[in-house]
Amino acid sequence: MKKIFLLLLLLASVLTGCGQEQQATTVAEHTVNNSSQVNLAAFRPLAPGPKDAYYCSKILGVWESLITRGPDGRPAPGLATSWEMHDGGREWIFKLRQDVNFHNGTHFTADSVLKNFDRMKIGYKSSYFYGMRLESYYPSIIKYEALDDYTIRLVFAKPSINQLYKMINFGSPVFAPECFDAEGNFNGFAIGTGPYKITENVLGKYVKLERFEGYYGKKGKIPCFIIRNIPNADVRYAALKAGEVMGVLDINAIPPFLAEEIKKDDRFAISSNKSSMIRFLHLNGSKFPFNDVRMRQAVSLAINRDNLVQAMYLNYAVPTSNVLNYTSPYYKDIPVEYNLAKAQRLAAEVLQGKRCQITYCINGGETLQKGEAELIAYWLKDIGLDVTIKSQEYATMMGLLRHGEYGIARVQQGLANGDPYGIFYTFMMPDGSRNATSSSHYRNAEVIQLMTEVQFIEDEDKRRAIYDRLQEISVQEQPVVPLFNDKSVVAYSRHLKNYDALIYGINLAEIEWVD
Amino acid sequence: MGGLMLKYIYQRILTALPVMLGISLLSFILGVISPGDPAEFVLDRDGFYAPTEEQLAEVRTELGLDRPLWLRYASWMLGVLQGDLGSSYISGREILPDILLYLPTTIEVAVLALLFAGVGGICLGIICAVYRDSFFDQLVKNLTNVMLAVPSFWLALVLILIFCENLRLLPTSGADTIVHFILPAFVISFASMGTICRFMRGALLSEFGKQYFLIAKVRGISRCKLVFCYALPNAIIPVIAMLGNYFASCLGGSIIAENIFAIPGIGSMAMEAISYRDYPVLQGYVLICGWTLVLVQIAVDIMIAYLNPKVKLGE
Repeated sequence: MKKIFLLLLLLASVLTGCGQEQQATTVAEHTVNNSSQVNLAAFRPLAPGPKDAYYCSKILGVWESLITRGPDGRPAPGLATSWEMHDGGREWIFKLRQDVNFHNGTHFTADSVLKNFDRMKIGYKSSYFYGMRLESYYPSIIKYEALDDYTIRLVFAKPSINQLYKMINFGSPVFAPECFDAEGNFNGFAIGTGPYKITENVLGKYVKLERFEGYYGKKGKIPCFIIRNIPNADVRYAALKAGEVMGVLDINAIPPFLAEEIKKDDRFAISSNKSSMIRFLHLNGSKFPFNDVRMRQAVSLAINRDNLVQAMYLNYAVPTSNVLNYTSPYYKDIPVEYNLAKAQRLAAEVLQGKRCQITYCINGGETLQKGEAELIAYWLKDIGLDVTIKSQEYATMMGLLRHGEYGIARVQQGLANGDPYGIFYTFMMPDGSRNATSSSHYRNAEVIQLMTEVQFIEDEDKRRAIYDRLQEISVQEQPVVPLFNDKSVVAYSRHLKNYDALIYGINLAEIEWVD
Repeated sequence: MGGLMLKYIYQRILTALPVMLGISLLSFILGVISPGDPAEFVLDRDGFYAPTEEQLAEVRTELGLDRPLWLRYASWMLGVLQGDLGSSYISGREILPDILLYLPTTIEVAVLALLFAGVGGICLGIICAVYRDSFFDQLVKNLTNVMLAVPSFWLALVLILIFCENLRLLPTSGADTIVHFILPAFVISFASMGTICRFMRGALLSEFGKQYFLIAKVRGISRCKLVFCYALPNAIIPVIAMLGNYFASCLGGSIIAENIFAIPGIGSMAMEAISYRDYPVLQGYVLICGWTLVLVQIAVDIMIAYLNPKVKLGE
């Protein structure tokens, strides 16, 4: 009995020991909201740390970019105040702000920007947000140089007319060169120029942000934010209701059904905005029946997208049949057509009165996809398609797509920077990433011609006309079948104001307590 | 006796080595047979830019994926033995330091869960055995069926609703103080508590029927002394073995609880690796959990041998 008692004592001491160590390294008041500190929650770590290309998400307001996204979705001045394009897009000159300091007190100059380019040149840097690759954001760049302390010049081998779009936010981040090590990773916290600086980062738990008093612009109104990591949506909701956090942010901040629930509670509010995420169906164009454009059109016409977003997403989504996301300034609002009779006629022409067995692959990790697929399968029955739904692990599904071993597959795509060219390329060009790796086999001579032309067209109206035409073709021929654009939804306590959903995240610097 | 004990420990460690090697092989194979091309994960996470074959080949060489399998395994094992489990595809961070960072939190939750399961299960088991066939015994017997059947994610959400959202007695999530671990540890231990209760009850009832117990009872020894000084020391040994194995499985099996309660332990790390298809991290996780399980089992066996010397004598 004494031996057993000793063992239990040992067990208890291990537990107590661990507990004390934990208490020593963390701060209990992190769970308490007060006037100088606001706790928020996100589903993923927003500051993954030194090995991430950006260290933290843009929405934390720690780092800023040369070019940012304006309210209309167009490129807007960030740390670069103005720009000029020369030589048909082969040369770009950027004028930089002169009143900016980094969080460590060093001054922001052209040299800081060049050192960030040097870092990008080291090689690909992975990230939880968007991978950082020099050739992705600056294709064919051959030179970057400082013309003076506050002017930089970029030179490209080929015209890069839409360069500004590529540079929005994640395309042109600027960090203090002192925070990079020899391999281009961060040697401590990220040091940026934004309104908030990181003062504590406990991976997997929280990141603490404090207001940067030396910020050149409008300073943050809340002195300190703790952004906690709570992966489960129900628990984020419970934490909000229990007063542990004052708001939720980031993508997937709150699912539609919980957003509807929280709206019923007077203490909380919901804010929504457009999101850069689009959800769509890949159709296997390498074999019958989707190698026929009429069958793709039939699928698109047979899906009642209004009903879909209402039933499954409680209208926290916007139906679309356009491959370009609605946050792009070039987005053309083309009415979504639902016409079962026309769909049946087109399908009958292709199927010749026979029925066709189709495998519909979904990502098992996304719970709502099953219900959505069942609804779509029900509609597709009317056009002669007998659908079998297969729930799979995402990587397995992507493997099937690559090898053309599927009929329909549900996927999504984010619009990283408002650049329509990238999206049209990936979906509609023969060697476009999505087109090539998903056996879509979409090819249209007019698209190839327009995409080639648009690279050299400087005139904004002419470019817009080409992008309009590309959208019309995408709606007409459905290289993929877009279903809906997401909405960016956040929930927050009514004790806060200006907690407005942006296309991605919220603006922390604008948030303040209600008087 | 000291020499015998040392020999037993030596033998036990020796028999564990092939098992640990097998676990390493399985962990490695997991990464190899996993779907998808790691080079594509690295280069094409956002699906915007189709990497060229040259870029893919370059990354495959960088990751050592172009070498023969046996060479990759040997090189990975060599790294493991030197404390290098490789780096994450996604974050780029080294895996072992990350596991060591998260492991203490998981151990803390597991120890608390072990205490809940052990203390709760043993106490309930003793009461049920002592008051056999009573109303309480019947109630607990039925309750253990429920405990075994309730899914842990559902239990977690219900407890959060009651204790955090409505009563506001406990925090919903986080890992700042030991209070944050009460609900997750309870959720993890809930099913095991039922198993241990049943096991304890059965073991005690078996001891109650033995001759030494009946003789002691006839001699007029008090019921309390009979149970705690005579029957319990014998009945508890298999329960301790069970608890030991349970502790090891807690380390690898707390994924759901850690994820729901936002506890930054190795379970959450594995969950994140699954969602980002970060196979090197999963390889490291499986290896460490497997090896920990083996090591804990050795420790439990040694502990049982210490409590019951017949074990090491092979009786």
